[in-house]
Amino acid sequence: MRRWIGAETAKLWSLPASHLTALGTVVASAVLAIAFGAAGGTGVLDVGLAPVAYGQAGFVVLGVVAVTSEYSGGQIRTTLAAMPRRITQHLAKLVSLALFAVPAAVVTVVAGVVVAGVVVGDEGVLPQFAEALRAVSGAAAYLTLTALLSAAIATVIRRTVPVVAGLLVHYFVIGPLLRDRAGFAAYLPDTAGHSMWLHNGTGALTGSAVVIAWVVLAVAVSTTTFRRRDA
Amino acid sequence: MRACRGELSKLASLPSVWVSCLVGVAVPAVVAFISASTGDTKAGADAGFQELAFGVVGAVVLGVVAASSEYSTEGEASGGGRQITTSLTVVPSRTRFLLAKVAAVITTATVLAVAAAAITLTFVQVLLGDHVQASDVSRVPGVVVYWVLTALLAFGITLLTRNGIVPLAVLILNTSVVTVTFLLTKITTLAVYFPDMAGLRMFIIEMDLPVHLSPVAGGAVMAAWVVVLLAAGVAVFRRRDA
Repeated sequence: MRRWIGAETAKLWSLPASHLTALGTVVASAVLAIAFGAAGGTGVLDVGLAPVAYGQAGFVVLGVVAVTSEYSGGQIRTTLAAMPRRITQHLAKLVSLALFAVPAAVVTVVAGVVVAGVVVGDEGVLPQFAEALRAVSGAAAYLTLTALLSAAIATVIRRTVPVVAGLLVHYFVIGPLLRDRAGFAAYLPDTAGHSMWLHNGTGALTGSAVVIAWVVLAVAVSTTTFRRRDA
Repeated sequence: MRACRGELSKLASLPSVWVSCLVGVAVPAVVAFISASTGDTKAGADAGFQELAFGVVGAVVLGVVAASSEYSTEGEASGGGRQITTSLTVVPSRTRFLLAKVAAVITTATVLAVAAAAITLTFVQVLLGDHVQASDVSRVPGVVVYWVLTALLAFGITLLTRNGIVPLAVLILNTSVVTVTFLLTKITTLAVYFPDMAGLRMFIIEMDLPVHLSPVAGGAVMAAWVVVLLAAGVAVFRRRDA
């Protein structure tokens, strides 16, 4: 299993798309923190975590690209020739994605908070250390789970553009619109995830449980389809 | 004309285009239905039109896919096939090829926008009758122009990148409830001249922005962006290896 994770990690690191996505997300997060600061926020954590709502786009793309890069040129055949046990291969891919996403998520979130601290400056409301730690780790966990969910969905659909378009439309258009209008939206992965990183949000445990349940369900479905279907 | 028919038939054969049309019609209609049936009137004069500003994602996907589908075909046996070589064998003049493509995108986006606006505004009219005035119908052309220009903008950017992911991420992210360009207006007033901020003036009345633009001026600013990006796309497309 360790060698399989190593192989999947090597493939993920060799994709230019993975580095460019991570880098672009960190830069965008810092720029947006400046914008939110200029928009009149005073709480360093409020301003610093607001870009997470946009940074999740980068983690959606990261998760999708990690999977669909296998299918755009037929690399999946080589992969399965080298690693024929499909369930192990699929789980190894998800583990390697998580190993890539966690540091990327931490850097993204911390970049936003640090920039917010600089922008908001002296008049800013500085957070307690424990509070900041909780919010930052919650946001990073949410971003990582979003990447895993996207990867699982991409495994089922196997086409980059439809998956990216569908997920982004959900996370950025349908989700936010339903949030204020429909009660069941609290059980969708994006709205439930809000409570993981909006540090004044309530029900962080429930929210995390809902997001994790979505990820587990999606991974179960993707593992089953990947196991049973022709590559 | 035959080239244009060919492009229309290519668009119609893409599942992504059908799904994007479905999203473009369903998102504003369903959201308008939900908020109108709960008697939500805080959108005021923009009820229905705000939802149409989000439904434009359908036009974004349409414009992106119209260009990106030529460059990468994903599928079990396609092995990264590139349709563009076949397309240029059939229509060797690159300018004519692009003109046909643009015409096909405009036609599809127009039909999509008219359908979405008709259904959404009918819901609002039926459920919140006293809030929709007769003058509101005069804003529908603004919606259609906005959707068509957005589709062309997405098409022009994808022509430059030849890959759908970046334009999709940037443009869909920027259709969110609080758009990035709106946040940038807090940093610099110049951001009100971004294509979406300018173009929305064509049919949204209440916008909290530092500079006032008339609907016509807003539309002109957006059209200028589209012309520049399409010109860049055409110039690059004509000179670059396919």
